Parts: sequence; structure tokens; C-alpha cells
Amino acid sequence: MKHMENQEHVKELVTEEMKEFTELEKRILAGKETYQRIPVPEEMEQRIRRATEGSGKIHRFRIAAAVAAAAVVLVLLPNTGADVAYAMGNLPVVGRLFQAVTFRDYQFESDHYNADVEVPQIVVEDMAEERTESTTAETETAGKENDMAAAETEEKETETAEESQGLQETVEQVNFDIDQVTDRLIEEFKESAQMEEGYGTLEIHHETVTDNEKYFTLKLSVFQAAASGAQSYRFYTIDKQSGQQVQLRDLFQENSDYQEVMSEDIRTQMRALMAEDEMNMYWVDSEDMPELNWQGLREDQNFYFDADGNIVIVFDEYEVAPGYMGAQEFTVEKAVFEGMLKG
Amino acid sequence: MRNRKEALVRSILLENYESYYRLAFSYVHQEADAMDIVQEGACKAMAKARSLREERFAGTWIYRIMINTAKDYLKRYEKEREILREDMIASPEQGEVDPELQEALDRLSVQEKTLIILRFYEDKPLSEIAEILQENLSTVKSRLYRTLDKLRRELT
Repeated sequence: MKHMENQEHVKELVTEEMKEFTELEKRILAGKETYQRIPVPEEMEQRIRRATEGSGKIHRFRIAAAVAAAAVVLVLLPNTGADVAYAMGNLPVVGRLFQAVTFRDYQFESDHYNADVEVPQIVVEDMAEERTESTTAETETAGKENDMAAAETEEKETETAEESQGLQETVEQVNFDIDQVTDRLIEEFKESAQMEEGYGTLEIHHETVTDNEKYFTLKLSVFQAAASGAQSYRFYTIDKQSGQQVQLRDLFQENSDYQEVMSEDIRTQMRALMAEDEMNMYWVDSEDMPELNWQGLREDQNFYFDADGNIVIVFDEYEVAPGYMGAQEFTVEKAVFEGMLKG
Repeated sequence: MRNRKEALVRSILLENYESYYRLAFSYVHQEADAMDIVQEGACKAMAKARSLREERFAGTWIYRIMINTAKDYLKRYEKEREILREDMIASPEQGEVDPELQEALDRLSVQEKTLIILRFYEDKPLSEIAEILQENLSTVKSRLYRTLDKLRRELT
């Protein structure tokens, strides 16, 4: 009997609680209409459209740039820095100077649109050439003359004809592709500027990030912005000895696990940065969304060598971190990968 | 293949951005911030469309990205301004039907609030919510129950 009463009591309590839950659920549901009436600003639609289209644009650029990967025009330019490098280096002197010059530029400015574009071309000079010639070439800015100079220089090549043939092709291909990529971006910019709706920015700049006895690397940075900006980079590295364009995988011995080793090194750096400051956020170790975690270095990952021979890995926006973190660079110390490099 | 996934993600984003916006807005109570979150989430989803394995989960996957983006955003800005937490408890807005409930909702964690919104305001079945939050169904059920219990105690 006692037992029965107890059960009754529990049942009552449960029913009471259930009632309260039902009441609460009703109360929450009453707020549904208010929730659904939260006004969505018109701008949101435009921004979502740009976000979804923008990515397509970046993508197209990437493909183009990947093809673009190898260009060099031959022009004669003095470069004291490189002279010193050659003088000090006891490696076989390759005998050519590499340089990136602004080949043409494009500027535009209106109320809502502006463009600042410098289109580079890689030029290679034979060290044996006369200085006077170099100076002349330097002052020439129009492209056609450079091509002429390139052709001339090539004719003069005697020693390593085969090598320079390869180099010549590589350089021409890279330059051709830089041209194509930038032309397309400029066309797109012009089109949207004509429509005169919204805002737009296009900035293209270049920088020589590596120029040592072995490698020459040109960095092309593209900033394309409508409602949201997209920053991306391309790196063109040319092996001065083989004359070929080099991707990350080409640096390493066939069966080395450079991808794994270097990726792990970078992950360690990411973890340290995140521990250091909570504002730092990288897509690493997420248990919640493991598929968003960075999957490790690609064989054609953007990279360059710094002055100390370390490899700097460059990530575009969204590649390893949320957009607010921007593009990211990680330096992998020489000691980490040295043993895996090709002879 | 890749283009198909991108096209799919794009169409889902265009179709549902208002839902994402409202969800984001209910975390931050700021138009500009909510738009930033949705835009950022959209960019991330587009950039990662290729890593989407099962097309039929694209919808829940995007939701998850949006929620995670909002969490990142909150984490970042809370650090910037410790007071933000206070700001984010909305002052009763115009036409607010039940300010007391609203306040109680704002005191919930992002996780808890998301549960309530998806279940009651977006009419998502529990199985779909489980998919979005990457939890199993019974975990979601018990968490929803605990959240309701918390609200109930706060409101009485």
C-alpha cells in the first residue's frame, strides 16, 4: 500500500513536470514567428552571391596560374647582388642573371573602382654580355623590345645550348601565362567597372623572393575585391641549372616522406600559435569537423627558399585558417628536410 | 565532379542564406556581424566543397560550417572585448513577444541555443540536428531535454 502511494506520488510529479515542459515548448514556439521575422538585410543576398561566385573566380585563376607556371624572357640587366652571390659561390656558375621586370602596367581610378596592376616578366641575362647592353635593355619598358632582346640573347648562347633551350622555353611559358592570367583579371575588372555597380579593386604586384645560385622564384600576388576580398599568390620557381620550373615535389628524393614530415612540422607550429594566442585559429585537430582540417602539403604547394635556405610554405586565404587570418606563411627549418633533398 | 559539388553547395547557400543569417543573428544580435559570419561560412563552404564526401549531407554540412564559423567568430571577439557577452544578451527588441524567454535563451551556450533554434524555429527533425552537430541521436535528445530543463528552471 505504502509502495503504491509512493508510485502515485512519483507519477504526479512526473505529470507536473511534463506539463511544465509542454508549457515551455508552447512558449518557445510562440517565439517562432518573431524569429522568422528577423529581417535579413538586402546586402546579405549580394554578399552571398559574391561569396559563391568569388570562389569560382579564384578557382579559375588558380588553374590558369598553374599552367602559367613557367616563364622567362631574356633581357640583359645588371644585378650587383647576384654578382656577389656568384663571386662567393663555389658552385658551378650558371652564368645567367634572372630578374623580374614590370613589363606593363594598368591603372584605373573612379569613385568606386580602382586598379593597380603591374605585370611582370622574367628576364634572363647571360653574364658574359656587355654591361652597356644591359643598361639599354633596362630602360626599355615596352614588351616587344624585350622579346627581341630575348631572341638576340638566345642566338648568342653557345656553351650549354640544350640547357638554355629548356630555360628559354620555361621562361617564355611562364611569361605567357602571367600575361594571360593578368589579362583575364584586367578584363574582368574592366567589365565590372563599366557596369558601375558596387565597388571593385584589383591589385597585382610581383616580387623576387628567391635568387640564389640554384633557384629563382617570382612571387605574383593578386588581390581581387568586390564586396569581399580575395588574396591569392602564385610562386614561379625556376631551377637555374636545369632551366626547368620547379614544384615542391621536385626538390625531394623520390621516396622521401617530405609531405608528411613538413606537414607535421607546420601543424606543430600551428598548435603553438594557437596556444600562444586564442585569436589564432588554424584548421588543425578539429574533432568536430575533421574534414575541414588541413590535409597536409600538396605536391605543388606554394613555396620559396628564404635567405638561410629554409623553405617558406605559403597558404592562400581559407587554405589552412578562417578568412580573418588571411594568407599564411610558415617557415620550415632546413634541418627538418635537408636529408630528403635531391643530391 | 568537383564542379557538381560546387554547384550543389552554391545552390544550397543561395536557397538557405536567410536561415543561416537568422541563426547567426541570434548569436550576435548585430546585422553587420551576422552578415560577416554567413559570408565567411559561405566562402569556407565553397572553398571546401571538394572535400564533401556525401552529396546528400551537403545541407547539414553547410549548417555545421556556419555554426562553427559563428563559434570561431564569438571566440575571437569575446577575447577582443570581454564585455561582449553582455552586449550579446539582447535588449528587448521592438515587438518582442516574450522578452523573459529571449533573455533566458541568450544566456544559453551556443550549442544549447542552436539546439533550440533548429528544433523549434527551423523545424528540423532530431535526426537532422544530430547530423548537423555530429552527435548521435540519443545524445542530442538528452541534451535537448537538459536544455529545456535548464530553461524551465530559469523561467519559473
